[in-house]
Amino acid sequence: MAEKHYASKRAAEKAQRVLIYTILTVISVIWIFPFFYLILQSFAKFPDPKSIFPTEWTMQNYANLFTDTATPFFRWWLNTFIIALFTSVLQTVLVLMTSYALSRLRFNGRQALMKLILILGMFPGFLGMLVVYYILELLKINTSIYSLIIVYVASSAMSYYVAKGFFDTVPKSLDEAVMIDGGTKNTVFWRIILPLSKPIIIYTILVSFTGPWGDFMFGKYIVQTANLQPEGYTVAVGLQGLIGQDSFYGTFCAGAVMVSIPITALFFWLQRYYVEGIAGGAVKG
Amino acid sequence: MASLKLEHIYKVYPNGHKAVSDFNMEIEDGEFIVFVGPSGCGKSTTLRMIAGLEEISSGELYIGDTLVNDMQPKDRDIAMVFQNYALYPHMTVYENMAFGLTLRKVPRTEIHEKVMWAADVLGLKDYLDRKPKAMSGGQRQRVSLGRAILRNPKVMLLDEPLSNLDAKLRGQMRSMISKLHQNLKTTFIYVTHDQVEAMTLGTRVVVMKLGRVQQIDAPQNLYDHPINKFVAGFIGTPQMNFFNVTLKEEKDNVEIRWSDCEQPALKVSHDALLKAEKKYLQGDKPVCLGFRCEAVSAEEEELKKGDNIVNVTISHFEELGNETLIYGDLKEVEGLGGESTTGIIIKAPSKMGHKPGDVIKARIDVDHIHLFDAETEMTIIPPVPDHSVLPVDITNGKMTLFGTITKPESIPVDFLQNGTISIPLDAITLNAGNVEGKILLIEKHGKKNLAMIEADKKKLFVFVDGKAKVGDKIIFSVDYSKATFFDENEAVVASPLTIRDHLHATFVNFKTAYEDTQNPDFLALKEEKVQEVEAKYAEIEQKFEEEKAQVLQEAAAKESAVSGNVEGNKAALAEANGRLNAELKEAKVNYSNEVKEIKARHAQIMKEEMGKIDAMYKKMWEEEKTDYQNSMAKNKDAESRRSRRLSYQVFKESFPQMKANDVERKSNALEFDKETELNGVKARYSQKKALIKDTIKENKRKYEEECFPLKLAEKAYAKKEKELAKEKAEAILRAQLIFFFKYDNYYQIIPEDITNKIIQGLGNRVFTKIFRIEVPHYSFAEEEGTMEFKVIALANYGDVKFYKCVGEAFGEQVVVYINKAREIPLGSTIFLKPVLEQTEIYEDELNIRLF
Repeated sequence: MAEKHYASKRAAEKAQRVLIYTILTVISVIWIFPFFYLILQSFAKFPDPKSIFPTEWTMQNYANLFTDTATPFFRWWLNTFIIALFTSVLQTVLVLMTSYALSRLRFNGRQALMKLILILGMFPGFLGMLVVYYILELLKINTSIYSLIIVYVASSAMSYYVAKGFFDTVPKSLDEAVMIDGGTKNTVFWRIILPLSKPIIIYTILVSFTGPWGDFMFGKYIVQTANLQPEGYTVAVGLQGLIGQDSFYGTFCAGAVMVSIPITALFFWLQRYYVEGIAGGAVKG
Repeated sequence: MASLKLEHIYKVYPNGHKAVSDFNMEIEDGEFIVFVGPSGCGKSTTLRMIAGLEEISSGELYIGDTLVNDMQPKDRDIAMVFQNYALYPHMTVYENMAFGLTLRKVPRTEIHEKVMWAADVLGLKDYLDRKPKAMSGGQRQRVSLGRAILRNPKVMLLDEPLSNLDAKLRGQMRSMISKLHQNLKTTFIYVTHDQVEAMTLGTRVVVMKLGRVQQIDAPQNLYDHPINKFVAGFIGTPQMNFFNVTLKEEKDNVEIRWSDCEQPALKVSHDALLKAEKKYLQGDKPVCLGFRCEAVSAEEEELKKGDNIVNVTISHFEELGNETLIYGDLKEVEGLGGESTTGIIIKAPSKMGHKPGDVIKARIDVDHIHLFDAETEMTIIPPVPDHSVLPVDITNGKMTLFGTITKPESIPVDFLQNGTISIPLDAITLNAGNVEGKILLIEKHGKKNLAMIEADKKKLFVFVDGKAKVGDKIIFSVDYSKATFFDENEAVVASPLTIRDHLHATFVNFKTAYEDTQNPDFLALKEEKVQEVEAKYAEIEQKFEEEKAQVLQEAAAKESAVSGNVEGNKAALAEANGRLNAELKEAKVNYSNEVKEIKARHAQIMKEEMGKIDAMYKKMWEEEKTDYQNSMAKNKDAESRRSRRLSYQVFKESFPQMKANDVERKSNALEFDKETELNGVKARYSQKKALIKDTIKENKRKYEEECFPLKLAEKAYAKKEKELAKEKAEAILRAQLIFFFKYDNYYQIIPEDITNKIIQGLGNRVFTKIFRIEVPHYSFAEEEGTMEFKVIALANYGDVKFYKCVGEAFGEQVVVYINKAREIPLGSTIFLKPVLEQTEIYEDELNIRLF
């Protein structure tokens, strides 16, 4: 009797697993397919949206991307990279500092401020686009695509929540030990909290890099209002311009693939810190 | 090393909760003080206030002679050990210990020496390259201790350092801390909730409850003379036995009668209760009797003594190995009993053949009992009583106390029979007046000598100087204004005159006071203070200029003398730097080679070990498989075949997990070895790097000092000048800050030190609070234009006289008693102001003492 029971339980478990894996497989196929399709199309000599596998293979689309003067892809790529890089560095520093302050300092109106920021963050950023443009105009920096750095960085403290949650888990007695050892709040932040917070720093860098990297809305807005030449585009704006023009279909696909490279590289480079253990042995346990 | 002084320390949270109330204590250099109490009693808060991690709401904290209220923790020269260790997880043990000194810019060689010393003392030498996560709790706490001691702080603060350790380790660490204290001779303050730690470690123990200090004393004194029921119950395991009793004074002795059970009364000698007030001995006031389990015995030898024997019904035993605790009850209890007011614990060497339910006889040793007031829970036989209670009679204007005298006029009692008088110790002045007494005994309590004297067959207590001897005759006088009179029913018939009169005032700044009064004196005072500061700084500045001129002149002379060598020195510096940089480069290359080597070696080891595990499991798998097949082939019995099949199945299923576990365990261990080795190499490299960089910096400094002394001196003096100017501006600003107490329509200037204390206590809330100023009767000064009072009566207490004066403030009547040598006609008007230095100042609402 016992054996039979055991066997049926095993069978049930097996069936369950098969079901789960089937569902997961279907979801991943749906997920991966567009990207897969994009890569294949970027190598097609005669791009045809209706067939998945190209009839003839070529690298010409990639060559066009970098040689065709109508699509200065390298400039777009560089523009976006500079914007994303500066944004991510500044934003990471600001987010971490804000989070630390909100996690560790006690001041009047702290709770209210936190809630306010949270609610403000729920509105889509482009709601204030018009005002943002006028501010840029007032500052006389509305003629350059690099003003996007300021636009992105300005709202960075909004995303304090994740990092604050992380800092809250770092024991306060570490701060106190530093204060007694002869340090200041600065020492605590730079020499204790940050080295302990690698995963959250990586997370913040990734998030603040991918945001500007893929943003279309603000880029397009600046390009349009300032009437910029193609040399001043970001990749998102530039590639969007290629959509709809049949002759550029293959180039568009190649561009899309190129765009994904830095993000992928960044992730693979940083992911090993992502899983590294933290705060081990700081306190009891 | 330093002493500490805590004066009227309060911690009040914004929601009004008082975590610590009026904490007063002086801690001497090198003492080991333990704060103990149940959770929430404010012990940790007090420690954190000393550390500077928590702000002091009110009161003053001195370390040595410095007021440290507003000092940052890092400037207080203290070290702290935390309950959860608070080690920096990303640093090795060495770095953890060195961190504090690095921040303080101590030279590296010195840091190294100190870390090595601390590691040696605490037995951590083998762990210096490890990170905290790779250490056990006890080791981590040792690191934390090491971090604290190597700074050689003035005060060591330990916040429940052993709470996270298991019992055995706790014992070891306790003796280690005790030894550390003996060796370092630093002042230790130790917080714990464990009374065993408190008793074994402390030279003095502070018992706290609900934010208030209950008793501060040496451990043995706490155990032998608890001041109240709380301390008695808190200190000592098992807890003290408590019973409700009454005391009745009989002819030969005092009887202790049980209130909650029928047991023969205990008999205590009169002498044991000399310090107890008579009201407790009438047989009607509820009293709490306490004695420890070792003060009661069920052994034959004790029982033979015959007296003070009670019957105990045994409920259960607790055998502790070397001794046994007998739990019982003085009443017969049915069932499990539960909470009982008559439960008793007896310490015995063994069960002595008894079993639960037996009724045995036990003798209580009345020399070791404690008696507490049932209401206030304070002991009724304090080691130092604060007053003496004596019988008194008053009839026909005569008072019979020490002989019969004319009753002092102001005692508002005309007739009193079988009454009592309570005389505080400080109401008695020796070598004055005309009452004669004889010293019966003298007890030493700390620095004070308590004497019991007999006068007219009545015994009272008084402090005497060191020269007094038993049997000496002394004369004394009594200040009846401080005495309380009770009638035979113990109702108060005459209260003492309040020790201090109460005045109320608000705190105002100079502008308010001046605008309100237009008093030119205030303005003059302000100007005078500013001028004083300016004069002082003029002198300092002049001295500074002279010194500067001289130093600069010397530096210029030196610079011109060495001007020829500059090029040579520069070249030498460049050469030295080149050499050092090369050294650094080499160290770096060596370091990266070493790291590579270690990584490669460990990768190899890892590969080998994993291979071993693989092989082992493969073999295991094969063996099990063959064994299974064999047994299936040979065995025909259905039952055993089935069980074999089942076990094989279980093996197959658990096999991958088993292997994965082994792989993980092994790889973790190997990773850990690798990391420790890497940490060591890294630490040595970074030490070398830092040392070289320091040398480069030092060389540059020496070069500059050698070649450009004038430039350096100019720079240094420019900095000093700036500091001086800032200091002066601050001093002038400070001199202009004058504050006043406003008593309705009189403004009194507050002396600077008192102002500081008040602002210290309340911050910018001072202006919205009302202050209560408690003024002793002798601390009123007469001055025209101050508060107006009318003298309405003379209170005559025999040896002392007071004038009762009435005034008005804030629409209310104010009554004060003043003690003046001169005769003042009744009905006249006088102007009075308190001498603030002699008063006590409170914030009225929260009742916080500020001065």
